[in-house]
Amino acid sequence: MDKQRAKAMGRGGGRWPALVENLRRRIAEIEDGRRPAGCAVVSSGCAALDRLLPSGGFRRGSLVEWLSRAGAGAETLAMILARKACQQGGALVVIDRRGEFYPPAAVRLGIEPARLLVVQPSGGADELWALDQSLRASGVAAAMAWLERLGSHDFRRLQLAAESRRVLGLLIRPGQARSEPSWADVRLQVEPLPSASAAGRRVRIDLLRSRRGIARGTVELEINEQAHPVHLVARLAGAAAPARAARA
Amino acid sequence: MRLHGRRIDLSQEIVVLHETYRGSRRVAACSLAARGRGVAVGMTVSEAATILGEREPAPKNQRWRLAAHDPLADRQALERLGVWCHRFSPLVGLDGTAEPDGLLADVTGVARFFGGEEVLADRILGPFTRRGIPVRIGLADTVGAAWAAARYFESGGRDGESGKRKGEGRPVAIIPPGQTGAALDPMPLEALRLSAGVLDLLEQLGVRRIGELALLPRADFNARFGPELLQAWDRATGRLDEPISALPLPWRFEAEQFFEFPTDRRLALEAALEQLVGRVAGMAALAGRGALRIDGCFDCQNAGRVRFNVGLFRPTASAGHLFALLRMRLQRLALPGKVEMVRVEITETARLENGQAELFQTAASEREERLPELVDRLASRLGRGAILGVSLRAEAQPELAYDYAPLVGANRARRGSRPATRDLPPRPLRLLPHPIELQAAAVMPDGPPLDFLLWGDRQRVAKAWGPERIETGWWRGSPALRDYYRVDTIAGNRFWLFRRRTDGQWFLHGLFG
Repeated sequence: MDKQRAKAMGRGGGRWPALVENLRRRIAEIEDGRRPAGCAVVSSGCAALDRLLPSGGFRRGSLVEWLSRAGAGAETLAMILARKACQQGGALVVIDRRGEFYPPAAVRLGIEPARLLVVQPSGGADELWALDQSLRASGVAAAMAWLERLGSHDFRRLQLAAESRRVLGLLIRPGQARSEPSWADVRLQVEPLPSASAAGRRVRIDLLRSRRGIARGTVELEINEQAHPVHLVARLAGAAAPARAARA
Repeated sequence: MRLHGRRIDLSQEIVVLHETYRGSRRVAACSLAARGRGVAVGMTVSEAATILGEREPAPKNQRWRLAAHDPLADRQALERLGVWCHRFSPLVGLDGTAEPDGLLADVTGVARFFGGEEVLADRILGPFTRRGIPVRIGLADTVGAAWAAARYFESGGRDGESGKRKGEGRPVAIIPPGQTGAALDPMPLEALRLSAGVLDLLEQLGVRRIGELALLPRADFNARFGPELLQAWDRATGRLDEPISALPLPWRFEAEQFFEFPTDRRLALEAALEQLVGRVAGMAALAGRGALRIDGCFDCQNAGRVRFNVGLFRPTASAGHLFALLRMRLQRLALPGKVEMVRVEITETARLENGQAELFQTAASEREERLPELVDRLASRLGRGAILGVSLRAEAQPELAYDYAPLVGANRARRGSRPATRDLPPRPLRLLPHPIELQAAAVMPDGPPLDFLLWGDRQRVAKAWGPERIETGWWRGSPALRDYYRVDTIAGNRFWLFRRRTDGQWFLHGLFG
């Protein structure tokens, strides 16, 4: 093998970049498990946020974990993303154990009531089971749940469930969960920023972890709530997306 | 061929049914007791009221009851009785008159299972008398004779061996085989179910009994009275056949299995359940029906019955899906003893939508088909009330602006137009079911809050937007008069607070997640 590589190097860089690219792709495939490369990607509607993510968007059939304190803006972002995910058909399943979900707000963000399915389980075990079933169902485009406590074992099970189909799983978790391990494909922390006007809310999104690399990044967005549909706008000042470290 | 007919009658209470005839309310029917007091069919309601002693009905008086004549409801009730009578005969129908008031049942060969015709008649009579429905039963060789026997056996003397006069013993008339002609002869012509025109004509001719018809030249009947008379007479005597149009049987899809050795092993029970569900689903599919509700039942040894059921979002005849749902329900079931019998029944069905597979099944349509399965699965474990669909309402009070409705077993009609939400100010994604009282300080009595105490932390308000004044209908019991503010704290969180205008108390209602 070494001799071959030496030969290839000796022959010049002709085949070398192609080989590296090939290996990179195969490593990615192995890491991703059953999902084929080139799986559908949901754009968040905001180019800056999409650039932050390794796939250029949120991959269907994966889990997205949003960490934030109450009232910071994570649910709104998740709902906007869910709307994008449902655009090509499929339902949004909201698992609302606490009974605090307010459908008119979701409708205002652009979710169609006919596509909205609300599940109200009574306990944590039922909540996880319902989420698991929703992630494994065809006919569902996105599933959202507020999970305060999530054990590692359950998290892994949810990740496998998401990968078996094309459901985008949106988990909204408290900020303290940052110290816990995560099996999500993408982990985002949402921090609110002072807003200037009533029309927009400003948030800062940190990409804490992404399974497909060691990319990190931050982007500041404004949620334009007066527009229909509600969408995200990147703020030019302060948008910091450091160059991604090349994968070894 | 032995047939029987029966007639159902009102009794005891004074009940008068009225219908509107040429603009006035007339008596359409009245009970025997009312007739005894002098009320007759055809007189106006006010006349009847005068006869019965009081003005328009006062129900507390002597059970004098006035109700509207509802022929459709009567017919439906009769059909239900007919369905019940299927336990005596495979073929039950309404009698063939315009306003049926009796049932016809073909009991050829059935009598011997009951031990004779008398016993059969008793068996039929029993439940009716227990419920207080007076009934008369006629049993004969032909439909016409049976119909006549049930209604007119009291007039004209004895009919057959067990001929009884009205008021004597059982109201049953059985015309022995072969004696139909002799039994029919003394009966009046109305027993042939003839129309009024023909009856008038015969009356003018002086013919009053069926037996007298034999005296008239048979060849002339059609010319003088039309085909009706000859046909009715021939059918009654048996020269012509008369069909009974049977009532359709309701769908019953059920299957059961006994265990010779009662068991409580889950695997055995699940296997039996799977087989039964397969059978029942096959029956339903064959009939073109899908199950909307399926019930299971275990008979435990010495411990009674355990029932469980599953409701479905969309009718399905898929045995696999039904079994999966029942199995999930079974897993949460505690069995009090060993099971002797398993029974599965589809209690509610609907027509199966013909799922014709499209040639190029698009991804979207394929996904649409699978969503009901998810709903069924979730509902069978979490309960029907936990899986909800949403519809919006045009309603100022925020907590009432939407409706949850269970998806399983719901009316599938699409809800109407949705109220416009575009003009609404932003709403929080999390709304607390009960607003939390806060201690807040505000600059002006009517202004936004400056800070408030929430969950033990003092939150300083950086910015507030509002007020959005929401007043709900004063015609409701407790109207809500609120001034809502969208509040940004210094820490950056956004809350939805309101001040109750009646007393100035601040509440936290929602969080803009």
